[in-house]
Amino acid sequence: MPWGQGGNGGGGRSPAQMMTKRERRNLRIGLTFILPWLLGFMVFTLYPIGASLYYSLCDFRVVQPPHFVGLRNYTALLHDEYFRLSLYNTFFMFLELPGAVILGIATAMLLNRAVRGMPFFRTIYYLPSLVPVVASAMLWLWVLNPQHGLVNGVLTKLGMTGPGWFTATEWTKPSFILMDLWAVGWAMVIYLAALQGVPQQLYEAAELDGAGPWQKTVNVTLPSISPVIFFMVVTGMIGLFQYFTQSFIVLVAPNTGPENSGLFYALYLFYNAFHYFRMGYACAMAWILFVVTLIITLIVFRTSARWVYYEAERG
Amino acid sequence: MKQSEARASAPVTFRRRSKVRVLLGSLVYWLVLLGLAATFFAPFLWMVATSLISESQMAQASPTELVWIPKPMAWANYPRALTSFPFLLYLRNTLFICLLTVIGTLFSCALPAYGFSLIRWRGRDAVFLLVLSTIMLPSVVIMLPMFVLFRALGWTNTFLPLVVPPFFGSAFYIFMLRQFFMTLPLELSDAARLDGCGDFSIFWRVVVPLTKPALATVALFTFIGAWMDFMGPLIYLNDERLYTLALGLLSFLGKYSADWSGLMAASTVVILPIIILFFFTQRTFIKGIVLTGIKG
Amino acid sequence: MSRADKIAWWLLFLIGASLVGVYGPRVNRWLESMAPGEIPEAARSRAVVTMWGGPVGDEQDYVQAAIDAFNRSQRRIWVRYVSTVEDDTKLFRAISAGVPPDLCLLWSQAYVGTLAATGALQPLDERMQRSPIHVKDFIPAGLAMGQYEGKQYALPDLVDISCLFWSERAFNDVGLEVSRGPQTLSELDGYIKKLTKFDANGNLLRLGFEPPDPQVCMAMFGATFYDPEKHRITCDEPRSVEALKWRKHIQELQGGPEKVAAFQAGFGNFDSPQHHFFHGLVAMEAYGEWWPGYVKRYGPHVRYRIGRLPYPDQYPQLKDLTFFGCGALGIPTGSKHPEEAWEFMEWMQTKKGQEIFAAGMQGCPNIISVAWEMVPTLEEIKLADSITVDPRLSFEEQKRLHEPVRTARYGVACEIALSPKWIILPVLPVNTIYLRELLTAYQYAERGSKTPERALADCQKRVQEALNEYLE
Repeated sequence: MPWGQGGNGGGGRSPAQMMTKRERRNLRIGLTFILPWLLGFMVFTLYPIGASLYYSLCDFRVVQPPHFVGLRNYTALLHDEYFRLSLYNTFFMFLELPGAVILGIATAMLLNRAVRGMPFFRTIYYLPSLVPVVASAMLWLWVLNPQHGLVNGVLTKLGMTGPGWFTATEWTKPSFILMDLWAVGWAMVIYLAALQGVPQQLYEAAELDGAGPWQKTVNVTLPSISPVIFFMVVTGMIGLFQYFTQSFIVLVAPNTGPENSGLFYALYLFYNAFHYFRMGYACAMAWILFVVTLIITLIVFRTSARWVYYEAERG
Repeated sequence: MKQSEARASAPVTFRRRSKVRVLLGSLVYWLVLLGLAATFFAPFLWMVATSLISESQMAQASPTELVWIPKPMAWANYPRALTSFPFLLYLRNTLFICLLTVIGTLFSCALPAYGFSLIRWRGRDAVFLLVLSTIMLPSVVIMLPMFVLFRALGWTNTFLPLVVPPFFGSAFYIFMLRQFFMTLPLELSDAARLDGCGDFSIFWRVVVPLTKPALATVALFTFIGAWMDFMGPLIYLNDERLYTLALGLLSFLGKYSADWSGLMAASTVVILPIIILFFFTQRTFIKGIVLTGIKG
Repeated sequence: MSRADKIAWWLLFLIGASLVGVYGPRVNRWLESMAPGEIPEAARSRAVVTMWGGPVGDEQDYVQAAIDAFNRSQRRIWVRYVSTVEDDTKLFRAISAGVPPDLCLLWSQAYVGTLAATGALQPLDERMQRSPIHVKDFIPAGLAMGQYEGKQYALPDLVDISCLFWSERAFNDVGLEVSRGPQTLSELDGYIKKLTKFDANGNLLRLGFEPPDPQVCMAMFGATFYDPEKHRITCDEPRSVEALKWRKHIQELQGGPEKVAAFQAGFGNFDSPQHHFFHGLVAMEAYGEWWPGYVKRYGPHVRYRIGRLPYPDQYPQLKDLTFFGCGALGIPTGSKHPEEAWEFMEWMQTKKGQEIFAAGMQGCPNIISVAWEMVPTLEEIKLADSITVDPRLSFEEQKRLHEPVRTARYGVACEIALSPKWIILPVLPVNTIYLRELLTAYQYAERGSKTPERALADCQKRVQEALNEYLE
């Protein structure tokens, strides 16, 4: 090879650019191993990102080819009442996050005892999260049925009148939150694993300092599992931004809930793309979602330094 | 030592009171545990109970009456639910997609994971950072142009859009497997290399056997993800002969929009295989989630 | 793994693979035969027209009966029907995906505009000119519902009209004269007040009148939907606001929109004996000429009457106005067998096709002469009014005894359809959005978060913007 392998190659090359035969070989092998991902990245990530950006600047009716219109989709979005509403509805669902974290950790702590029958209980708590979304959506439609459902039936026995759940404007989103919290099992297991990873010495040291159970939780448990909480919050947020399946099924597409209370961002995007034939508009929505997700994730990452403790930092 | 002495000399009343407090604490604990368990489990019981109510009884049930054990038990709801949509056909389709997805994911995630962990090459960590960043990408950004692309390729209304992409890597599982591979000592691969093994045989003969639990976890999670996948089949599968169980349930919901006993029977049937699968693979599951939790 | 183990696994694998290879295709074919719309062996040599339609369940059987008759009548074409389960969104997704069916039966004619404007349906004018069926044979509203910008894009399968049905038992309960329905809206108010029942806690036990869809309300008030000269969506005009206020008012009479919606959530399946009308949960309904068929199928022992929808007191000229809808047959662009699909569509519009279809589907025939044949005589009506079916009889026996009632009521509806004054939802490219926005506007206004004027003005703005995109 004319460019010289390893050692001192042709004049004018800096040492950093020279690769040994070994390094070159490793590079080749490394790239071969990641080839599936690399190809996928180019076709299924780079191309779509570029294409969706282009489409977002076009008027694209799917059955006809796109034609360029500049920023019109974006300005239209800003004036779109439903765009703002869908953002509100989606952000409202973020109220689920504290509930999911608290419930997840609480149940994990409950199940962290070496009590007889614990595997049985863990199964029961975990089971709901195994239910396919379509089935659990149907199930909860029935459980929260205002006339015949389980919840309203129980409430009536207690002397109260249950709300309209999915049929009432103010209760639509809380109904979804309730449905999601039922499936907290998988989060619980993750927290459980994290709890079991907290070193016993920390608890003993706290006890010596005279800490009660509440203080132990706040000062030992929570900080120790904070990386896991962080992970769950970030993935939870990313998931909630794309909340789709449950709303599509429960609200019986193409309905979006009473007074559009169930019009979530991903749902509105979907309808624009596949029912109203406004693919360009939908792509603009997708890009805005991308940017918003990035910003919020960055914010969470930045603020995480304040409340997330990593093992390494504790020296 | 000091503590035990202190305890031995403590007054008897103190000991009795703490025993009561312990008992009380235990009682509260059990109440909460059982109470929550009942709350989590109740919808399942309710689902099965409803599935056994005959149609005519459903209409007559007064609004706020809860029926837990219907009399008579309308077992006929099950065959009715199962025959109203081609359950076996949809099952075949779903299994086919799930199987290919699992194979594709394992193949396309284990190899890059090895490449990112057990070989040192220039720019490796920078590229890995790139992989990580794609986890944050909302899938809708990709979904729309991919739909247009698949449409142009003529792949719509086939299994291809669902089955081919898993063969090209998934950032999340690459990340997870890479973290796991990193726990393997480098000396292993170095020693094998000294013996003259090519990297691929190291991968196949050394790494894979050692990391079976992680691979099994990825397989299991991928399977369940593909089983429950809804949006993909929704936009790509238009012919009923290709429908998956998730779509079949949806069309069932449309057909029998308020036939609650039938709907619950169908739900039970769809949920049951997963529960059975879970009971058989419980340990792998929990271990796998432990892995994700710690590495995450 | 020992050598023996390895051999055992390989053997197992080989046996498994050969079993799959031999029986696999057979099992596959058996499984696929379970999918709807399977083609019998004998028909495989024909041109297969795949038809997607909304009707499902029993109505699907009637569509299938018509299709079977067509398939039997010739040997070149086989029509294969697949139900989209009343969900036209599936059709939209398939069109988006570039894999439309060869022929589609739209659940609602509202979609004709959108599909025609995006070029998803083929124009039919040429074919109609060559065909023996004449435009003047049709009920004019029917043809009008399939026309967009002067071209015919769809033909109605049958036409639907909206009329009023009331339960005799509910009327007798509260002492109302059974043979006479409410004529004006003020009379309707009185009827609703009498018929709606609440329990001790204020929960609904029976609705007096299930509130009709927004577009029906607008038609009842003679509100226009669109001004073709100014290209303006007119849902914010005074008549339209009146219609919305009226619907809000009748919901208030029955406990308010939340209570009504919660009550409706408890209804049983529509296509079943559990329909709420048969269980006394609703006293009056604004349904169509298809309802008598439903009653015969699912609740033959229930006694009911039919009449025109009431008209607003202040607009007596609306007394005989009929609101039309239909299912629409169209040939999608990209259909693999457009000529064969057209042959079937043509056959559907012949006298024979219409008779078979109307008999089953209980829609009103499109052909005027066929529709006139359905109108009952006074004796037939009197007979129908007097029939009481004993619910303890077998279902089949009940249906048989009920049949004269069905034909008489259905015939009265057909007569209503033949009235000269009619109104339809105009064919616009934005009808899908329009109907959804109307419903949303009604919800906003009824639940109080916006005033009716504001809600409709917002609706007008959104739909107008969408329409303007098309007009460019």
